[in-house]
Parts: sequence; C-alpha cells; structure tokens
Amino acid sequence: MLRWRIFSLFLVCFVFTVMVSGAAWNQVRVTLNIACDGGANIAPFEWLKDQIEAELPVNIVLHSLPFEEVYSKLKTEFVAETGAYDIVVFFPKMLGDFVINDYLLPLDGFNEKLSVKTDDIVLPVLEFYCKANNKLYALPYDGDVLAMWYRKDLFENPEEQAAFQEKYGYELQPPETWDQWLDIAEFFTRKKGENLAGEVLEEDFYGCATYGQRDFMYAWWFNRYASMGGSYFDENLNPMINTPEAIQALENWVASLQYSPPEVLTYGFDELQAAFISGRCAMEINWTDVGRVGSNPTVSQVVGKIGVGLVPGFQLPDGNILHRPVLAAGRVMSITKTCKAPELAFEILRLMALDASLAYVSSSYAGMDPFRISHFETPEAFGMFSSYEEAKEYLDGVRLNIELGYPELTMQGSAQYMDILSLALSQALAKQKTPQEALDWAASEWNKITDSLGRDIQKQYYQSLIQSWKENGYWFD
Amino acid sequence: MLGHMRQWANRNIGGLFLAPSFLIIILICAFPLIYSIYMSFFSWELASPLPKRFIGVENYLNIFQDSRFWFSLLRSIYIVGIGAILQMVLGFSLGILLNREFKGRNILTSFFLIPVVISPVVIAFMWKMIYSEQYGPLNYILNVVFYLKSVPWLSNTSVALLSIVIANSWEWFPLILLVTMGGLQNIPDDYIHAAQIDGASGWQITRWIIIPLLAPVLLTITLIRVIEDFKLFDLIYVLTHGGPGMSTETLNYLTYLKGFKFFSFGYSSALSILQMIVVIGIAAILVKKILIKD
Repeated sequence: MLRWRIFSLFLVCFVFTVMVSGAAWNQVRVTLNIACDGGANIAPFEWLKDQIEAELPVNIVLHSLPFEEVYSKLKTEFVAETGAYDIVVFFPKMLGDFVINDYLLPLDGFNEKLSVKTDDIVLPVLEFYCKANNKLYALPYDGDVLAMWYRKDLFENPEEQAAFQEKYGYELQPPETWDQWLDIAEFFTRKKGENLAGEVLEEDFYGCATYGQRDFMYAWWFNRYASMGGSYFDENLNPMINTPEAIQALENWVASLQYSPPEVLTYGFDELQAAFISGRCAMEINWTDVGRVGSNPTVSQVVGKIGVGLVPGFQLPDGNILHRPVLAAGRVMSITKTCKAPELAFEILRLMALDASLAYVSSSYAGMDPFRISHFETPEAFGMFSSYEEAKEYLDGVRLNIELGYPELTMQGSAQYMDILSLALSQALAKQKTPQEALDWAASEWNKITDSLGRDIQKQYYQSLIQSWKENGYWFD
Repeated sequence: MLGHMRQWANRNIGGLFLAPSFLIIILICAFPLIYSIYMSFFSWELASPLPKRFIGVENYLNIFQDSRFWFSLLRSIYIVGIGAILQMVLGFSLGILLNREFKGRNILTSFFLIPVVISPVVIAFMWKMIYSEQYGPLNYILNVVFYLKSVPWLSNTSVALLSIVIANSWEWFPLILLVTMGGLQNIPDDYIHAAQIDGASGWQITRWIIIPLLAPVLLTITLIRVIEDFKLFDLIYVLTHGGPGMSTETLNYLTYLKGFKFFSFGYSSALSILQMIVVIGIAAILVKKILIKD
C-alpha cells in the first residue's frame, strides 16, 4: 500500500513538473509574424523556419502576400494598427512612406550590438534602400537591378553577323544604345518558316520583349529616360517627366513594340522571363533572375546561350553613352513598431541578411538576387551555372549594372507617383494617347499627388534623397 | 391597465421581435454607409502623416472634373449593358431549349451550371489561358479552323473590355438559364396547349406567352445581374489590372485603386458614394418596371 502511495506521489510530482515546465517553455517562446510576397520570394523564410525556431525562442508564422498587393496589405494593417506583423518584407520604394508615418523601428541600435556587416552590402542597396533620414530602417533581402539579357548564340553566329553588317553598316554586338536596340530588335524579328541562325523557325521569333504590367513598367521607361540625364522632379518639385527627352525615351520604347510578341503589354515578370528562356526573343531587359533561372535545363531552352550586358543608354551631346539601369524593386526587411520582441526579430533579420544570404541568393528556386560584395565574389556558390567562368560572367554583369544603377524614388507617395506614371506609359504603349499627351497628363497628376501629400514635406524629402544619391555618386546635375 | 399593456404588446410584439435584427442591420449596413458619406467630405491621404481635413464637396467637384471618372463610368455601363444582353440571350435561349424532354437533359443542365459554382478568380485564370495570344485555344481555333488571324484579346485596347464582358457573361448566363427553367415550370401547360390548338408557332408561343409570363422573374434576375456586374472586380483584376492603358478600368476598379493603392480615402469614399447612386438609379428604373409588370 505504502509503495503505491509513494508511486502515486511520484507520478503526480512528475506530471506537475512536466506541465509547469511546458507552460514555462511556451511562455518564453514568442510568436513572430513575418509578411513577405509569396512564391519563390518567401521561400528562404520557409527553408530557414525550422532552424530559426530551433535556435531562437520564437514560433514563426509566415504570411504570404500577393506580389502586387504588398503595399496595400501592409499599409492597411499599419493604418488600422492591428499589429498583425512583426517583420515585414517590402519594396524599398515604400520605405519613405513607412518611415515618415512611423511604422518601423530604426535598426542602428541593434546593428551596433550585433553587426550585420553593413560594409559588405553594395552601396546603393544599403544607402538608398535601407536608410531614411540617415538612419538604418531596413536590411536587404533581395538586391535587384535591371540588366540586359541577350542570346549569345545568335549574336555570335557568323551568318547573322554578316547579314546584320550588310543591312545596318555596323557590327552585330549587344546594343550599347537604345537606337541600336531598335536596329537589332528589327533585325532578329522573323516570321515562322524563316531562317534564324541556320534553323527554320517553327513559330514567330521576336527581336525583343518588354515588361507591360502597371506595377513596375515605369522602370523600363526610366532605363531609357535616365540615360538621357532625366530626373523625377526639379528642385521645386515640379515633375520632370514630360521634358522633350522624356518624350523621346517613350517614343523609343513605343517603337520597340513592333519587334515584341503581340501580347507583350500583358507581360509581368514571369511572362517576360518565360519569353526569353523559352527562346521566343533575342533580348530583353529584366531582373537578374533570368540568368540563374535560364541556366536551369528543366525550365529553360536557352541554357548556355545567355549573355548579360549593361542596359543600353543614349548618346549624350559630348559623345559619351550614359547607362542608367534602374535599381528597380529589390526587397528589404524591417521590424514594425508593434513588434513583440524586437531583439529576437533583429536576430532573424541578421540571419537572413548575413549568414543565410549567400545560400538563397545563389539558388535558382528563390527569387532573391545578390546584394553583398561577398556574394559577387563567390561565383563558386552559384552552382546552377555550368562553370565558374559562366557564374563569374553572370555576377560581373549584374554588378556592373548595380554600380551604374539609377535609384528608385523612395519618398512617401512613391507608389502613387509610379502608378500614375505607369498608367500614362501604358496608355502611350497601347496607343490610346501620344507620348506627349500621356506624359503631360502624368505630370499634372504628379502635381496633384504632391499637393495632396504636402508640397513642402515632399520637397524636403526629395532634396534629402537627392543629396544622399549625390554624396554616394549616383546622381549627376 | 393590464389590458392596455396586453393590447400594446399584441400590437407591437412583431416589432419587438424584429428589433434585434433591425439593430444589427443598422450597425453593419447603415453605419459604414454613413461613415463613407462622412469621409467623402474630407481630404484624407493615408500615405501622408497629415491629418484628415474637411473640404466640403471638393472631392465630388474634383471627380466631376476628372475625365478618368467619366470614362470609367462609361466602361462600367458598357459591361453592364452588353453583359446583360449577352447573358439574357444565352441564358433564356438555352433555358427554352433545355425545357424540352430529351435524354441526358439533366446531365446537360448540370453541365451548364458549372461556371456559376466555380470561384470567379479561378474562372479569371482559366480565361487568361484561353485568351493567351500565342498559346490560347481560342486563337488556335481561329487560326486552324477559320483561318483567321490571332486576336490580341487582352492586350488590345479595343478588344480587352469585350473580352472581359465575354468571360463574365460565360460565368453568369447559367444563372439566367436556371431562373428561366424554373419560371417555365410555373407556366401552366394549358396555355401552351391552347395556343398550339389555335395554330401558334413556336416563336409565337415564346413571344406572346412565355416572355410576358416570365418577364417579372427575368427583370428581377436582370436587376441582380446589373448590380453585380456594376461591381465587377475579380475578372478585371486578374485578366487586365484595368489595362492596357485604362481600357478596362471601370468605376469599381478606379475606386479600388484610389482607396487601396493610393489610400486617398476621402476621394475613394466619394467615388463609392457616386457609384452607389448610379446603381440605385439603374435599380430604381428596373424595380419600377417590375412593379408595373406585377
């Protein structure tokens, strides 16, 4: 009997201990909600979720947002002060809005305690996309830039080279200028049944393709306009998007449509990438995923045939060619003001931006692009390429575009400015308006946006952006 | 005294039972509506830290001066008008055809009802594939069977809005079909037989017996479809995002852009109020017709 009593007492004590320790364990674990656009872009968080939960006392809940709805979803939650997210991944163009409305925590203090090696982050990504008002508000997750992708095999084909030389009077090479882009696009546009590099085409082939959806199409125009020295505003915040150079840039873009697939105006990122890697067009401007995904034989028909180059420019009066590839999109991570455990959140940000970053930027299954100097100096990590040299060529090409990059507008209202601009551009591309009419309309709408947001605040913010771009050598008067 | 109370209770007991539901309706319908009207008199830019500011009817005046509003309103009317005609013609004709007894009628009827039960977003993606200029089956049929050129269904400004109307009509004509078939069951056979004995043709029976008897129910379903089509969003969002250019930007889509892309809450509230007024106007005309028919 006594033995039974002792055993029962022992059992009760054991169960009590387990329950108390279990409850205590759950109490110290914090649930952190992370919001990021879905698919390949949230994949790195999914891969590292278990590791993070094992190393830190956190439970991770991932919220996958639609690519085009990131701003509206985050903004809605911020405005309603729901505290739904602790860590947010977003496009840098939203940073100004989020900072000025006080939705994010500054990260300088955390970075001092636990460095994320900011000196290893490429300059424009750190200075323009992670900082606002000289404070660090975000860490990079994706280092995007637009680059030129072309079919090396076609450009190097002797028959095509000879035919081009004969028709245009100069050597066939990846285009340096936007005028050459039109010539080459025209040259390679062929009908089904015609010959291309010695082979009979089974379907129509196009010289080029372009982005056609409203969310980011402005960047394809800025690639052209910025290379003529174009800017967003003048010093008094008058829009500079309907200058004669701006019109000329748009006319060049409109002209290129005749050498693009007919449905190109519906193209988003996936469709544009597919047009190139399925072998339907000779060249395109796109994000740097094209090089990595195009090297994957399970999805690409142009493995080993992809060349990367500088986004073309326009020839300036002094004879030089200015290249300004737009540093479009990119992704950064921030901690929200309502975060329940900022220190733990920063450790997650640090893991993603530093320790784990090489693994996911070098994967063809994630949508992230290199953003650290060390990423560009480790070609051997990019195993999807068939050789070290091929990986190096890819990384050098991407880096060159970043170094000459044209910064995106990141002040408050950027989303509105760019949406209106894209709308005007799409009207011009769809021939609903002439380039002049479309850009005049966009300029007048930009003025309305500026007035509604407060011209003085906007002017102040824009001037601080320009100053930062100038100080870092990314803006010229 | 007790008698008076009982009399009062007898008179008002219905109202008392209805009161909780009425209160809930006020809370979930009237409050947001009143709040929207209230917001429409403010400049409230959520992208900016500036506080909201009372501006009277300025939002409305700006909207009336904005050509984007008028064009988007016209597009909404186009979708509603053409869509209603297409849905009505398809749904009513098939309803008449399927009302006859033949083998496999039930299976065929169920087959036609599939679009109504599929999620609109799934339908939108399906049509996106169908409309694909290069690989879509629609253009393939045009090329191979009819030797016609491919049509840029979604990338041409003159065709894109019609493409949306077609996809929307395909989704919703079965509802008209269902209502037509239900209505036909209620028409006494005697009327049809009497007309047949008098020598009326099939067309005459349809024109002079079936259509007049089905008119109230068809007008009611048209009213529902008009209201729904005016609010069409999912198809536009998935298929075209309002583009190319502004060619498929309807009033509802514009309101969404202003509200949830630009976060101009005052302006978008004013837009939604105007949209509501337009829908109520159209609904009032149709309701009047229904009541006259009754």
